[in-house]
Amino acid sequence: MAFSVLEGCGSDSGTTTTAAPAETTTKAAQAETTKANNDTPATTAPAETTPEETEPVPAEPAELRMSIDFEPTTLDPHNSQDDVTIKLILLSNEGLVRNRGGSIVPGIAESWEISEDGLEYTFHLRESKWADGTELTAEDFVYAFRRIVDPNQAYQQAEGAYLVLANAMEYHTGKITDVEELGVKAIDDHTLYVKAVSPGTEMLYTLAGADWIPIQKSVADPAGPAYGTEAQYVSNNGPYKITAWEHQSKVVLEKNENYWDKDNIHLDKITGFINATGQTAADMMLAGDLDYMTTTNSEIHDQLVEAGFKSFSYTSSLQCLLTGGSNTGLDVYFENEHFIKAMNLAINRKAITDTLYKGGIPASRISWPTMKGVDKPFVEEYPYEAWSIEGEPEKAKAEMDLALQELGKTIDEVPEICVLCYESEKNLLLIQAMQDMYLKTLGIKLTIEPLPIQAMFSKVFSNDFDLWWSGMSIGSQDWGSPDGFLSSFDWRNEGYTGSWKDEEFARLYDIVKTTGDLKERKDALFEIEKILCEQHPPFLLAAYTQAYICYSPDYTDPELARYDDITYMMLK
Amino acid sequence: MLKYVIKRLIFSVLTILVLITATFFLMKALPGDPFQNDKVPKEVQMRQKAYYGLDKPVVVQYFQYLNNLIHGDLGTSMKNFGREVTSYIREGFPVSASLGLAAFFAGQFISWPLGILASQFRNKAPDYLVVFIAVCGIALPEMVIGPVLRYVLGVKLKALPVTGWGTWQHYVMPVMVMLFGSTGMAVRSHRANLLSVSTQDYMKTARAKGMSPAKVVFKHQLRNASVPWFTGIPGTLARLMTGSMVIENIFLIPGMGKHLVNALDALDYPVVMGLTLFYGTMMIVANFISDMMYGIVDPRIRIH
Repeated sequence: MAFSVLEGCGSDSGTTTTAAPAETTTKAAQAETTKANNDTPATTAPAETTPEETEPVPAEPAELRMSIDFEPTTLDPHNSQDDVTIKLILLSNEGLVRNRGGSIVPGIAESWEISEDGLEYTFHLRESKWADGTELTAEDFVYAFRRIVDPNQAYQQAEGAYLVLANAMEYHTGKITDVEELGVKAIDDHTLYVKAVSPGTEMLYTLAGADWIPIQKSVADPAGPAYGTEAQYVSNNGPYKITAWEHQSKVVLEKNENYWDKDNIHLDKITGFINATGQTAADMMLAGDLDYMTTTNSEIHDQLVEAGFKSFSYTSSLQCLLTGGSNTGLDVYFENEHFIKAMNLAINRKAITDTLYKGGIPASRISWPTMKGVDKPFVEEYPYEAWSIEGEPEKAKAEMDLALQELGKTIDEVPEICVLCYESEKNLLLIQAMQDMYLKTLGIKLTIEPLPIQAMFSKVFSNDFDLWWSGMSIGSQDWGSPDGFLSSFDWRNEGYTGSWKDEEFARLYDIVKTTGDLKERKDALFEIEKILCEQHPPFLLAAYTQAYICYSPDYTDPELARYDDITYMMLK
Repeated sequence: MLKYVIKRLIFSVLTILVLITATFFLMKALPGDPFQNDKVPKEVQMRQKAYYGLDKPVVVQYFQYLNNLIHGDLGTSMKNFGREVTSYIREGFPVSASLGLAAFFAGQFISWPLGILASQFRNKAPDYLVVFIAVCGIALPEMVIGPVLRYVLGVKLKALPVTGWGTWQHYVMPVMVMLFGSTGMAVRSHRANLLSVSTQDYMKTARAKGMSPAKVVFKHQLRNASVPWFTGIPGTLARLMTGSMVIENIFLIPGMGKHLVNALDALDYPVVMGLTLFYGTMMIVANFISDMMYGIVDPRIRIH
């Protein structure tokens, strides 16, 4: 499961807005001016010169200056957990396949075969090189895949490998000791065999992620624990290479001339300014010091669009209240279907997103408006409204009355419910609004416990909470992906602490995980969505968080894959 | 005097030790565990803890930490995997220090003239104006002044770079923001000290002797009023040089200011311990130097 306290990132088509071009002088305009100054005027006959006498004007390097929200924790893909780090890794590295615009396309593997049972993959690697010119072979993938589950290490992403690679868990936890039994082998320099844990469409999306890029042994081994901590301690095989990392200041990437598809890469340099967020980044954009930034603040978005920047938005996470597990003392209430329904119907999501959570979209179901279906958006192919976004206070009261009747309690006997959250001003305002809604509509009292991030997660992982205000990951493909939130509700997972169980959910989830048929997957997801919305086991969904990308009109549009993707951007 | 110095030195070392001990045990008392994560199997979490020595009893961890300190090892970050704590200081401190020094020296050129002006025209218009300016500077928070200056001077007028570090232009706005608060307090302090000295007998004697007002101020008044300021320099510098999280965030300055707050949020024990120790040691050393300077500049205070 992937929780995001603030916002995660998502994979679906976004929406783009453009205003009138910015009035400030842009790089393209400067290039045009330079070109114009060097051109022979139209009214003058062209001078008769030999080619040697005419010196071509060198093209200005195409540079994109972008914001980076915070200091990357590491550039080691096996310890990368945040989207800042993952984006940088995916700019400078490429795995077997690439997630381009939400679809899987060949990466280092130019083709592959999948066995009939969907478990065995044979990847045929193209001729490719590391940024330093050495040849990249299948052994580099074997090295990386073995490294992530090295039992002598404790890489953060190792657990993710359990769901992907055959025998990953067994090898990592020491149940097997022969690394040859791990589900990866180099047949020859350009043929890689991979055995998956389960069949399904997820495998390739997972292999497109940052965890499954190759690693250059000749860089990683000498670096040891320092791998990923500095620019000189990373290996690059992707469209760009990281050439500088000034901590707390900037990361610089330059076009990798040894990348196999370099002709389709048009930016020569990308400079990422660390900690450039919010109004700081917006002021940099307005001053012409930045070309590209991300924000979830709709006011900043509006400010930049008004100033002439283009924008692109997508759903980055689902904001919801998650109910605590079996040791909260409030279980008897949360397990009551009517109680949960009452709590769900009492929330006026529209009021929250109109005032406090600007930029968010109020949710009336789990699937967000732009989530991909089979051929069209999911919400078009599977229309559904689970509840009104304005809340249904009368229905909420009726449900609460039924709940109290079943439980043999009065409203005054309902204990105070404590909401755990990350200590940000925005979260506090939101939960205070909900406090007010619950008190006025149902007579339920909420208290708030804001905590620093690690202290908050400690309580979450030890299940010491009543409700938790959290962002839920929307997954690589959709919310049924292994890195989406759906796995959190599978009680068959080790570590599941909830009390909700549903056999039909389990049956449908198994289909999602194993089917290779996209229609069958989406059908099952829809059925699961109805179950979750009607039973409300462990969560109350409030809104979809929108992330905005704002960028200079001098550039072509970014793409959207797992995250916003600037790889193929160019100066117009 | 020597006895006094040695006594103060021993006291300073003991204070540092108390600082280390208090910080260490307070960190351990904080709720949460940096490695608790339901995505990671228990045996792997145990391995992570063992790597950082967190599987041992707290007292053992404490003495291990002291031993590492003696060898100059402040440990590695638990969040920025593999980064040594000393690298945070090595990279960030020179930036924060240079910004602090610039603000300090700039502040002297502003605070002293204003303080002298206010003291010479006590309870008259110039005095009221200076005090008003000083109070405004103290009252306005950095997180308000900073973005406003950045927008006006950087975005609208394009007179200075909006953010970043590396040229003299990058110093201007951050130093201006730092000056608002610190200079305001300095002006009031200088004014008070100058006024306090102005009522002394030797001041009346100097005026009675026919000494010019300027000479009275610079030869007698300023010299005696500056003793508290002079002896407070080490402490002031230590505070300014350790960085301001707010200013560094506003202007994207790669200093040390924000590391401690971020490390506390993430329960990154080695970074919290290392930076607290660094800051604390700086302040303790600064106080020690201040104590020594008192004895040097004012014979009345010198202890034999």
